[in-house]
Amino acid sequence: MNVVICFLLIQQAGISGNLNFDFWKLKYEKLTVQGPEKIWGERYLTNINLFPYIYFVQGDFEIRYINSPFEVQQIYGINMEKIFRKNIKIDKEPLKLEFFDIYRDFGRNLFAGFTKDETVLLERFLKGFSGNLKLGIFDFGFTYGRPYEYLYYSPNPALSKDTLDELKITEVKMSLLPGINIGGYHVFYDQNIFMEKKRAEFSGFTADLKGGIITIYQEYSRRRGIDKLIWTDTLPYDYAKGFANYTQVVFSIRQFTISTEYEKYKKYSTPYALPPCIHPYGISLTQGRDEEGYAVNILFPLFFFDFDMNFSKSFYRKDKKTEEQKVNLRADRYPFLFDFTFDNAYFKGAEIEEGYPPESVQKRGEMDFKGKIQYSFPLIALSFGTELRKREDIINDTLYKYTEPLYEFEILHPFGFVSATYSQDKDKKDYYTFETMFQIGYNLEISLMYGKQRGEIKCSGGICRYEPPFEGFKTKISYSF
Amino acid sequence: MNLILSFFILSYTNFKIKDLKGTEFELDSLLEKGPVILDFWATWCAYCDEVLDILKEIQEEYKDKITIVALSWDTQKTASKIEPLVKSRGWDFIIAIDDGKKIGRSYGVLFLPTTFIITKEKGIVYKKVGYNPKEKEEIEKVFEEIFGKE
Repeated sequence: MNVVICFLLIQQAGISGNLNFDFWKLKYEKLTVQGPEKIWGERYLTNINLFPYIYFVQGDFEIRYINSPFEVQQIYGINMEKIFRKNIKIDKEPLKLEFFDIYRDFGRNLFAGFTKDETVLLERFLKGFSGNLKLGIFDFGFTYGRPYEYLYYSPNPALSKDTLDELKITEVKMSLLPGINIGGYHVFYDQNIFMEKKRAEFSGFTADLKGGIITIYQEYSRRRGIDKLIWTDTLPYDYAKGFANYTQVVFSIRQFTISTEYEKYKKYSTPYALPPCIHPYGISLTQGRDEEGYAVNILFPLFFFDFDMNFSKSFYRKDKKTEEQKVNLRADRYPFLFDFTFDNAYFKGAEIEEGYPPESVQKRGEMDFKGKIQYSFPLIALSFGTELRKREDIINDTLYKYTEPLYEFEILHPFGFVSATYSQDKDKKDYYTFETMFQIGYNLEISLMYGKQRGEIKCSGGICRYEPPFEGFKTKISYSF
Repeated sequence: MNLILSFFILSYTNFKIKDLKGTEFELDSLLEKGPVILDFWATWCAYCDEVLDILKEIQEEYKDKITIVALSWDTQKTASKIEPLVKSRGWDFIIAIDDGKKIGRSYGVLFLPTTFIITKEKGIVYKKVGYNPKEKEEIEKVFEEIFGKE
């Protein structure tokens, strides 16, 4: 009853929000004296978000409670418990002020950006404040943040992991004319390396130009330091001089679009995520040894098909490489929907680990055919998809060739969806998932998933991320108010 | 009873956003003119354009009585695909990027597409997660209740 009254009071005060509850019953690997053993574990996560809006003050408060075995936390990257986080924004022209607590989204045009997955990590690590002041054509900005507990952060300065200690950013943007924006930034990125405080300092400029059929985004950044030879890749650069460049040019004529991107890093920043890839937000502060890459994307309609072609290549010296050519064809002819994709990828030194014990895949060539057909009935839509993945792996200098099939079936109904997938790996191991989501009224959503998924690096559109393996049952209940 | 009913009424979160042309909109000001359809989508989402096509038909039907706001979860990389797609499909709505999924998060959006109908008086009066072919009829029914049968 108290809870109901509490919610009513919250509503009357004009506060919206949501309440999420996650429960996982999963199998995970635990090291015992007899060797690795699969045992069942549980993971609970409750999360309450409140979004009050009073005049020009916006708040975002989150209370989080997580309870799971340590081994589960290690796999799924959550090592925080009982968190209360807050984010308060004051927005009154010409000033914007934000006090954030483990939550800050950095984007392009702000300063050297972070990749999507890094953003997820950064969401959890900073507490501090930021602000913007608009004066005529100028927009001045500042950010101050200190790390909070997060996945790869270690409060122990003796450890040489990602050791960010303090982040200070000042920036200025100018809107010279409609469609012409330029800016500059300066970043102090203080780190703790082997008990010693080290400062990395970056400064750069951005130019965002939009006129008629062409859009150009240019970012150039320098890392301050001395010109020195770097003989190891395992440590963050220590006072080394470096630079990074990112250029994107987009032509858009009616329904035809061509986008080209180029990036180059030279002794720029801290160790990067693997494998190398092009970053959607421009220069990434957490990237950058001698990495280089480019991507081309072409989008155009032909008859009733939409063609989407992507070519990308990024590499780090001669040691690491990611290459991808992808063509997607899509046609929406009610009641039918067709979606076909051909993806050809090549990885070298991408630190892909397969099998047990994990064996390092030195090189991987991958061809992927995906097809999906959907038919809509008056009340429901049925969708069937299949995928055939052909791989050539080189492990311990031996070539392994194999194909992996995948089938998926989905029913979309007025209250949600039901889906099932089945796939097989090179060792003929079966993977399957059953998933359903139901919407009850406007407030409640319930999703359930049961199955076994493999852990692997997934790359799409130049962005790569590692998805951990999962076996078990997941449920998520979300209540909005 | 009213108290219990109000427990099930969803309030909305106001927001300000710049569309792709750089014009700033505030939800509260749009709601002064009439109901707002708020749709969360992305260019890479398979069923989102189905919903947006339905919303296009709805807009043609209700013209100036309603406003449609389509907020995209595209990243900067896929954002270049928004404009060509919007032009080719003739979606004449307010299209903007929900940077960092902040607005979506405040509306509890977990899946794409998710569509809301919001009115100034009653808050959120419709929410649909996902796509189904009957969505147009469902939305029309909501508007019939709001505007009455014409």
